[in-house]
Amino acid sequence: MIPASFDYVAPSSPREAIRLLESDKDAVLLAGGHSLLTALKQRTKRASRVIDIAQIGLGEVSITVDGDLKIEAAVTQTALAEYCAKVGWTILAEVGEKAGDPMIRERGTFVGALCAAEPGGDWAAAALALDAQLHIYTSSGEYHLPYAEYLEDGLAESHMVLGALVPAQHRKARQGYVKVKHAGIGWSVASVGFVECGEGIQLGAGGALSKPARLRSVEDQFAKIAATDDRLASIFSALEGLEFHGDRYAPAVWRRKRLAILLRDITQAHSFKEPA
Amino acid sequence: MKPETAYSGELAEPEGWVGKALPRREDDRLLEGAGRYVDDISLSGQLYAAFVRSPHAHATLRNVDCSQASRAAGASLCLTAEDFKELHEVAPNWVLPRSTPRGRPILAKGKVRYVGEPVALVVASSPALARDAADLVEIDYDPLPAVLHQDDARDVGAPLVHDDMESNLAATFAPGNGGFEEAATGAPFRTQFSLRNQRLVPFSIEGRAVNADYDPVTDRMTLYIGHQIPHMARRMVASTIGFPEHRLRVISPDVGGGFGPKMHVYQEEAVCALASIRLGRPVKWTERRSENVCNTTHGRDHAMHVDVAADLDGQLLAMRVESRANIGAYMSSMGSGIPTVNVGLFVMGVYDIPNVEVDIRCFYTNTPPVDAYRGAGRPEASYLIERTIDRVALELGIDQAEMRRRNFLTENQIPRRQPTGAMIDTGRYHHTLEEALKRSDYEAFRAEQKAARQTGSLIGIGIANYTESCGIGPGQVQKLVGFDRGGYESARVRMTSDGGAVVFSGSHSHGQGHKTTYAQIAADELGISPDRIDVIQGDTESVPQGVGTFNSRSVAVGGSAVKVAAGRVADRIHRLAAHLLQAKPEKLERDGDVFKAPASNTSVTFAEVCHAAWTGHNVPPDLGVGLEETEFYHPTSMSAPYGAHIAQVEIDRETGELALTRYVAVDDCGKVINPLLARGQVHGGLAQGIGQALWEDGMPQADGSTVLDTPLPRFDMLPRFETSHTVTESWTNPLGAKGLGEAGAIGAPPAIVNAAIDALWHLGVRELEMPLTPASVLDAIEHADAGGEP
Repeated sequence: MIPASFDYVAPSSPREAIRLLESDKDAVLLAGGHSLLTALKQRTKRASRVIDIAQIGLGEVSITVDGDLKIEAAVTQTALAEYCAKVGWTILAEVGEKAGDPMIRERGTFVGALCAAEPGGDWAAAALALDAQLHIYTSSGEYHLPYAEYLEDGLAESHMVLGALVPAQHRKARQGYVKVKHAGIGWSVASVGFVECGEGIQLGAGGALSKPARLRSVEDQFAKIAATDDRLASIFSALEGLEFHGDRYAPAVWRRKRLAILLRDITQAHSFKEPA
Repeated sequence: MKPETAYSGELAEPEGWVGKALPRREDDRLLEGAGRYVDDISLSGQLYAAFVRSPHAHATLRNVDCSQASRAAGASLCLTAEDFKELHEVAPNWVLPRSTPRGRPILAKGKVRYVGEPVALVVASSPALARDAADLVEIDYDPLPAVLHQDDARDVGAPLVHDDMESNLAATFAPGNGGFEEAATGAPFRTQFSLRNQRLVPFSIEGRAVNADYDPVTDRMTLYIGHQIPHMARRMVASTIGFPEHRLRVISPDVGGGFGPKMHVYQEEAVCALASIRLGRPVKWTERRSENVCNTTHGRDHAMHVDVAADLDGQLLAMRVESRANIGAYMSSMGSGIPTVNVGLFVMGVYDIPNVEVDIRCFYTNTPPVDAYRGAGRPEASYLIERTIDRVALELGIDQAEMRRRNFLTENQIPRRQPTGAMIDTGRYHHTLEEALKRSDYEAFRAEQKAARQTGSLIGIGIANYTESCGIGPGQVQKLVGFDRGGYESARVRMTSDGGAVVFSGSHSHGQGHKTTYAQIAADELGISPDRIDVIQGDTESVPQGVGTFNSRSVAVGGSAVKVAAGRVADRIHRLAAHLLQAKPEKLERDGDVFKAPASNTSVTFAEVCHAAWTGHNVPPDLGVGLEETEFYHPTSMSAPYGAHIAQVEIDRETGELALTRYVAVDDCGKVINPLLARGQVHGGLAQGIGQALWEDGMPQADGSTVLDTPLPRFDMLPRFETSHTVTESWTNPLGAKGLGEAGAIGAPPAIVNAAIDALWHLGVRELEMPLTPASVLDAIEHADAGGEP
């Protein structure tokens, strides 16, 4: 488990980090490192330069004047979970208890997990359900981008994610995270982050899908599903077209079923009005 | 309480040190991070090795080009098969008669035969530079069709793993007393079914490692290897590379788990030794986890079929077993013996079956070699017979516990050699089963299960009355089956002049706790505290020639050697004390550390006697100077531990997810030297057995590679274990001990699968394959629901 040689740099500002990133097409950004370092050590990924953003700062989690939750890029998962256990967005506290293990949560960052978007990761599902946005920094400026769009479309230009923003509107909403854990590696094999939103619900899924995604097709039919006798069949129908992945322990077909059962249980635990 | 005796049936308060639950004396150092493993040993001039391995399961090697790698920063040497005039081969150490051995070439030549096979070695000044240089070795492969499964390997026209063979058949073994057809034809009941005992990848916390240190001045070599059998390693490395054994020293320091794979010699040890000879500097290689899964031996991998006949009361009449074993691309050290002798002898388990036929065939495939892994053949045998008992019971509508009672060998049939050849020294199977049934609340569970079925809940209970055979020996028997190792174990007990003792043992702890248990055994013989006894192992230059630790043999054989040697030393101490006090030995009294001669009212301390022995100032001629004894204890027979394990499970009908809700293990390993360590052995074995039953699957992927993230049991995945012992002392050794280290791995798989099938039988589920993943269990339920045969 020895990575190939690379240069290590620790810039002191986002500007410097982007400059370093743009000057070397094989450079990568290092946040908590729990996805990147493993890939480098196994030599499944190579980098000519590793840009460690730990020295930039970006270690604060706070509530903005608008009431949004602001999470900077170097905030660890443990720090975020502890903060949210006190101030709201309890789904993030709940994910903090279920994601990875204490060692990973102590070093791994929330934003890093969103950027890596591992299929079996936990944080992306919650972030999607919460309408999280990413704070993007490029050499031409800064802007906010919905995380769902970031996942779906990606970003071609060199960029750095300075942090994430979770809207205030979901702070006190009913929310939760349910997870079926992979027996071997602790990753999610099927998980759902949910946030009640007015008369509907917002759902982010991880584990079962090839990459984390917002379950808009299920959200759109949620009340209808809740009203049917055979909810499972309706959920299966709503999951049509999504791409599932699997392994020997938990094949894709089984993960799909397991995700559907999680969604059914969520419908049973909540009552929603049929949309007009 | 009474001290334990043979057939006491329970643990009793010990009179001496043996039997006391002393905490492990080795733990503090290890827990404080002060363990010293091979990778911790760096020598002056240290160099580091990295191997280039085949990414193909089967390919022709067209060319291996080391030119760039040799010029890489820090590189000292790049070796391929072409660099050797005579390509050495790691030969198997157990070659079953009439088998077709093909050893591992130390570096692949002409062909690669599995993913992970070493093709080239690069040596450099740091591990990172060695790895970087290894990436520069250019290899031209021409992929060939590969065969991964034994059932494909036996097909006519299957790709040949070894071109010089006519087929992939490596070995056959057919024990039994015959007569199956006669007995089965016309029997009131007969059934057949197939079983899979899946391939497993053993994972020690510490991987394999070697540091080869050749000294060109003295022409001697020291090999530091994390190993289970240091003296055998010395012999096998020496013969592999053609180095004189008397100039080769093997030191095996702390070893972080072995489980079988660390009792073989692999290509890496041999190549690093040869590289050290070429360079005149020490060469170290430490296995990476990705190397662990593809070149360290795997375990199990049998496809089995059972044909069994019984009467309508469940009395077994005859059984025929066919098994096809996948032994991988080469015959590993014990690769022909484990899947044959260690399975075939034990397929009858603890039962009286009049007619048994066994036919085992081993096939070469393009997969990593398969060899011993905790249990080593007996888990496969136990799984087969215990699944068979349940299958017959369920088909006949007989309670599974009652089925066992009706078929057990009885005490008056033991000692016994089973028709397959297995020797059973002790066995009170009814007693152990009843104890386990009581502890698991069997009858209450059955009532609960009946009620649960009314509500659709799926709960099940499974029993495994395993037996095995431990303490391999005597050597004469090993010779008959082609196993080229001794069946003895050595111990030297040396007193120091301050009244302490050092025990040198030829066995080697890789987690078992010998420093504690051997000290307890010696302490009772010598009459001193274990605190005054140190145990030394793992150095071929300080320890008498030994055989090593495997087959749960250390206590029964190695411990017996300690007991005998220490007993002789104690006798010498007693006689010397008598001499010093001018008393007859039989008139001497001992009070703690003081020998007294009541007639003369004189005394001498234990330490003074030891001191006198080593000064030699006043010793009688028949005792001579010094105070040490060496024993090569050679048992007359193996012992057969046994136990009753009971698992309870709950299955989610909708998801297939299985919860192991309770596990009761009642083991009989004869004399228990240390109940605390015995419990630890059972716990460790159970974890691995449960891992096989529920999660692990080492079968290579379609491209021949082995998955790195196979699920492994962790503490938080396991229930609280309820363990206890019955005590039936073995007559095969002076301790009365039998093995225990592999018991959990043998008992757990059948107990758990039996429990799962018990939970699902009424739905129509007849068989489940390990591992019981939620997906596979759900698939079986859905097929049964659909009325199909799962």
